[in-house]
Amino acid sequence: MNKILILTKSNLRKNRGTVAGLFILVVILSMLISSALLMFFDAYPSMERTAKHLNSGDGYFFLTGDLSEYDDTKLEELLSENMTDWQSRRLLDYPDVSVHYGKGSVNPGLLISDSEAFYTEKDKTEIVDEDPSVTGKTVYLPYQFYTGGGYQIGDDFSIILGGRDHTFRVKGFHNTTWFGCSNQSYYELIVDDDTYEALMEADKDTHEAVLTVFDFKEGVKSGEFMIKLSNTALASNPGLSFCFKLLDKALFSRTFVSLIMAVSFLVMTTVLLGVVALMLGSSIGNYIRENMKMIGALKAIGYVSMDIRASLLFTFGLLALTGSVIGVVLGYASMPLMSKIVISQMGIPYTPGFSPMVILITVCAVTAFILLITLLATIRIRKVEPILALREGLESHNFRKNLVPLSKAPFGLNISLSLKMLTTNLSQNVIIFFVTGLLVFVCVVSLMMFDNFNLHPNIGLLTIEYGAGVLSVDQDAKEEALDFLEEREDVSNIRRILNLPLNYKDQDTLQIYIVDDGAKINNQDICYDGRFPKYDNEIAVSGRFASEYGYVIGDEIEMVYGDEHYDYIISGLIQTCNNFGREGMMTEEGAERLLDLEYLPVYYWFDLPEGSDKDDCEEVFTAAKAELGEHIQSTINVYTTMEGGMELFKSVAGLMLGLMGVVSAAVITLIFYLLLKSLLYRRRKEYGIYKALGFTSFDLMIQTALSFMPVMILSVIIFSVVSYYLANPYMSMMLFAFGLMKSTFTIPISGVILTGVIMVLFAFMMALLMSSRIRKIEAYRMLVAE
Amino acid sequence: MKNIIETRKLCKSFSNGGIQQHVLKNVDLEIYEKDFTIIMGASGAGKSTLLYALSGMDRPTLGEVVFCGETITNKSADDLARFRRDHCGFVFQQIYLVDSMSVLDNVLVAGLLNNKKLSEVTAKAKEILKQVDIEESMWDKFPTQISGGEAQRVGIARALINTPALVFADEPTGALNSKTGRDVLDALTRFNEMGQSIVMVTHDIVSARRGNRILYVKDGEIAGICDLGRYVPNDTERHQKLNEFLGKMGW
Repeated sequence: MNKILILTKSNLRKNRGTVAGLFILVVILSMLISSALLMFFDAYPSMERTAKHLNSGDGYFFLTGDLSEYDDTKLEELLSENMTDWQSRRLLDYPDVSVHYGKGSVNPGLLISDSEAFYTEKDKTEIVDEDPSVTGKTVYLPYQFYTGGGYQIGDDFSIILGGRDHTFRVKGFHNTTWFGCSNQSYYELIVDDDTYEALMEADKDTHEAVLTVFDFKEGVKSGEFMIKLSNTALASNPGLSFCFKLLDKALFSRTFVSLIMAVSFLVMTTVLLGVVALMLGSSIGNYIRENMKMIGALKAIGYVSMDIRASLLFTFGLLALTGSVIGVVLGYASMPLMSKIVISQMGIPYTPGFSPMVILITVCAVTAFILLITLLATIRIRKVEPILALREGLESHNFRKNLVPLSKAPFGLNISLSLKMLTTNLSQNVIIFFVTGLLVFVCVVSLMMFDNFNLHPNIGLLTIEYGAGVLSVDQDAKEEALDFLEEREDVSNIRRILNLPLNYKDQDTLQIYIVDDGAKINNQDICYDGRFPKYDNEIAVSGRFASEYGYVIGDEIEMVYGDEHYDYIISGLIQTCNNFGREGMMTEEGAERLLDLEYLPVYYWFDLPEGSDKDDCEEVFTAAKAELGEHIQSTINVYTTMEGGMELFKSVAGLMLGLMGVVSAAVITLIFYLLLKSLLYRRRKEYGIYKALGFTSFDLMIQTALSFMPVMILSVIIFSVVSYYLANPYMSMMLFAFGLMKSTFTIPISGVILTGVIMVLFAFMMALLMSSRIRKIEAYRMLVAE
Repeated sequence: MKNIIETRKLCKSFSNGGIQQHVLKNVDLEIYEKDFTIIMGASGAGKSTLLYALSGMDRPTLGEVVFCGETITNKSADDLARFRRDHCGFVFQQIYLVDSMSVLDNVLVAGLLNNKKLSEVTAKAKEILKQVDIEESMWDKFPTQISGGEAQRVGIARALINTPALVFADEPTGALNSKTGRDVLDALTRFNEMGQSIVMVTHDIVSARRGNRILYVKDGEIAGICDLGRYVPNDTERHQKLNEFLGKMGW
């Protein structure tokens, strides 16, 4: 062991720079791995922990609409057969309320309850922060309004409920499992008791709802049971609306951003793993070349190959161990930034916890990986013969081809010599080619996300439809509202889209978009295969649902609503990231086969001329209110919704782009540091000769830096083109689990070109900087004094 | 006769473990145009140090080197490099051709430094290679594919490609056998006869006979100078004169 320690000490001393460079790569790698794992093992389960803490049950359902004949005992028999425990309470339900959120607005359903919500046994509502001195007309908002919505205690909170303006003062924030996140469709607001009573008095008939939270008995097939329950409720009273959600879907909808971030980090990690493997392999190769004499001498005095390899394994194992531990520490240190984004979506208080699993996996995985690469890269030590090694592996014959003869070179001397250096440094250039290529790919993907979320928000992939606004009216004003919109010159492409949950047999539930005419849909990209339904016997279903149940276009699928059921033909497949990838689309005539649309409000989507903004949309709503008054159920200003709804994705995309920029810069810097360090060492005599002949240091620095550029440029060009074609399929693959089947994000070509140019220029600057060590090479010392 | 180099009180010291070693001590000398100057001396006398101090490859600790009327001692490293490319040619004992370049390219790489036309430099390189007896068939070979003597003659061609004011040769035959060493000396002598000024360091008396002026370095000082006159093969009188001079110097 002592002999290995002596060699290890010598390795560390002789290769300080290389070890330091690789150490930084290992630290970055470990930091990304531990961050990803912290998302998986800490951030993601934190929502589940919260759900347990709040005794949130296995699911909930709530009934709205005509509750006049609703009797709690009606469902009791069904519930007692299948549930161990349940609890019902009454509250008020206001669908599609426009709420100011972040820089824009969101349009969730609002469940309004009074202070009794704080005293329930099941589905507890916990106060996270409050100021008892805030009195009057007050509201407790879900915690997400603080983490993502920009609200503070004491702020005003204005909404329209039942056609009346209400302004509350924010008294505090609460934590709830089911209704605390914009991705859950509903927020629960807890208002002061007086206001609640007043609202209940005014809107009891139209907005009262019954919320039931429950725990399943063991062995109950949850999905099937909920559909049965829904059908039973609807069969007893067609005027009811039934809505339910199970815990796994609720948790997923609050945590998918942490999952996306974790997956993205892991993707970056795989890229970095490749980089580390290439760099480590190359560094060990250089080590063997540079220390050929020493290896020969060691073998000559009796060391065996494994002794020398063991010392390298020990050196790099030590490096991996310390680097990964520091990486994990930095991963923890970066969690406040990550968790800020994560909790802005989860909407629960979250403090990163200590996870021995994260530390163990990161340290073991990184160390094992480094040891494996070292083991493979040091195999060639076995082939080193002492005599040859002592002669520094002198080649007596070399039949290389002179690929760049100076006598025929059309370029200047520096460029010609750079090209010559390029052809003699092939292994280094191969490393640069692939490492740059991997970096280009992840940069293009990050840039694509940034462009589509931050610069030119494209909500086509995040929602079923986009436009300028949505005006919802009751059935009495259906024609009047249409006339109003048609008469306006600025309004165009008016279409009706209603969103309703329908059941697939007794197995699953699809959120169905009922449209008057599929051809009017702006977001034609969502139908990625086949076509929108045209006839009353057709349906388009989401690709994820279809693949799960084995359906293809042309198959028949049975849909159920209450007692009614009908077999539709699948006309097309759509993609959606919402509702667990379980959505569909049918015509109004098609929906009429299952339910009577006459009971339901009408949602008019419309467009405004290009260049319009939220104020133009608001002007339409103001005019509509003047004309249609209380017939208006709700309005959605899509411009402000986009601003509010995109905040989270903007943060994630911004973080990813920033992180990728930093990682790319760090990797490029380290690569040039390691490659040039080795190159300058191996070629120090050659540089000495050049200097003796009259080359200046700057000539040689330019030559050296330029010699890497052709490959760098080639890699950037080739991988930019490859990334252009692969970025969307890659995103589809990544987001398949979220329901995205065919990603159609726009790739900003100018941005890709700019990224490539910046990468090449940065690489050139780094290569120039790293090769400035040439200044220290003195011809006299190199050629004479040595 | 016009001088190319003149030194004034040239000193060079090295620090070795805190102890100053004075390798050159107040050297005053002149190197003349068209001369084949030989620097001789025992091992460790400071011959090579003197050669590289004269050529601007190494910096003296004190004193001045005036080269073609220009003081080079205070120049920056890059200015010295530019100076060398314009005025000097080098032939090293270890040859130091660039392994990754063909024979022709090894000559061109020096020739193209002064931004001359490629066709002119190529033509000149080929001509010089022929003059040093490097056949055309060898021009595309790499240094590891030719013999030591051939490589050193390529080194001479490289040193001459820019028509330097002075060629510095540091024991050019030191790593060669007597036959190939003679070929190299013949080449240098031939170019000197054509007017090329050469300064050569050697501790080999056979090589020293090629020079017309011998500077003997002893303990970092010029201990003696001997004017031999132009080289004539088998001139025993000249050989005798050199032997006597070296004997006097304690050789």
